[in-house]
Amino acid sequence: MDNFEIYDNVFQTLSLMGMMVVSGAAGLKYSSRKLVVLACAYGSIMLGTLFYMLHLTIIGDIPRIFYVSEISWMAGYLFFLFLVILRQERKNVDFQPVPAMLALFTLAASVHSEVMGNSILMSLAFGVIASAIVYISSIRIRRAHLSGAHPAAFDRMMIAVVILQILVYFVSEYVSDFSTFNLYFAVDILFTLSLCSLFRMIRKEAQQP
Amino acid sequence: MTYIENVFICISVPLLLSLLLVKGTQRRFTLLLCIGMGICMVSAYVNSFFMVLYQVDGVTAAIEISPVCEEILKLVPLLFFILIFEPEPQEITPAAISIAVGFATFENVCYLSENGAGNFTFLLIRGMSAGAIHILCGIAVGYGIAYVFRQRWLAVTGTVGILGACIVFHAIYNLLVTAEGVWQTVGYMFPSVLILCIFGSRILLPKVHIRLE
Repeated sequence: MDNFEIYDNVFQTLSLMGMMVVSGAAGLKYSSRKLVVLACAYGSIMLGTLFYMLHLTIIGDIPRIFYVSEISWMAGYLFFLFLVILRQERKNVDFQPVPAMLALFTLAASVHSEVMGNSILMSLAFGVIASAIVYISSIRIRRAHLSGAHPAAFDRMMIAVVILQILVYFVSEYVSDFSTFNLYFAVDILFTLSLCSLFRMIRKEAQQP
Repeated sequence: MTYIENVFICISVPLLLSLLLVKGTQRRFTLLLCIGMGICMVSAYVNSFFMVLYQVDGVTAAIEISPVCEEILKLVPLLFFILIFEPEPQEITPAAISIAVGFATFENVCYLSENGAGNFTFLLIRGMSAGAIHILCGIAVGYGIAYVFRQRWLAVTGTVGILGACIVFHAIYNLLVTAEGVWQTVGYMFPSVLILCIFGSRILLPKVHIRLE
């Protein structure tokens, strides 16, 4: 158990498990769809990490062949996309060039960093989901700026989560030693904490009448 | 060489013949049982294809490839049943469990024809735990799909989420039972424990006015 990656994954699994329980309970308490969807997102990402961690602990290596964890993580991001759509006041999303460029950059970065393993199809699927999250969130931020309102913290944090997720894979390309603490784990821990912070923001929205 | 197609025919023909004489829920259960067995056979082909494609051994395939292929293939007939026949929500869970039971039964048959039936104790443990994991996934898919299809806004995302959860549960089970020592014991135990938890929740939750169906 001298591999720091195991501790990092244990931290992520336990944090997300806790957030899943708390979000689910709050969702039932406030009868909030958003909190229930957030709990599902936490659960999906947590299960993917749990398998990853157990594979690392038992086999001694990360799963390299097929996409067990990746499907679960992807489901988590699909729940996040759904959450972002749920928060939309307007049903139609108009075209705006700057958010579109950001979304395109997210898609390109996801495919280039091979976020979901060697399969282009999986990374492309993740890229589409992630870029949709970035597009809708940045449109909301832009709209808030134009109207002089304060942009919602959730939208900014959602973009940060996507960027950190891509950054985790980008940094992992340049790290070969996962036994001690390094930049990769710093980014991954920051990513986990960013995910956890989403609960506070959504609960605040659920509490508002 | 195991002629598993022949075994499948031998088991499914009497069941299919019985469809001429039984009606209602019994007929549906029998048909879905046969479909579950058929899906088990198809998934063996798909698993073998990916094993050759990725050049991996049986253990790696069992941990990483089989759960994905098996859970996706098990979901297909259930989605077909839901989208074409539009059953009542309370009919979805028994359908999902029937497919899972058929799958688990035929998987045990495959195991027996490959490894023999000499070691009763091991077969009992294996039969119970492997059966339990498929039934656990069946229950999760059944309750989950019945819920998300009632909430139309959650249907697509929820289905992918449930599929992801089932794949991970199945993969964790396969990973644990291929390990040794305490991990293996946990692997054999956890599906049955989770089924008991669900059974307990079905009894206890209505008392606090929450229903799983």
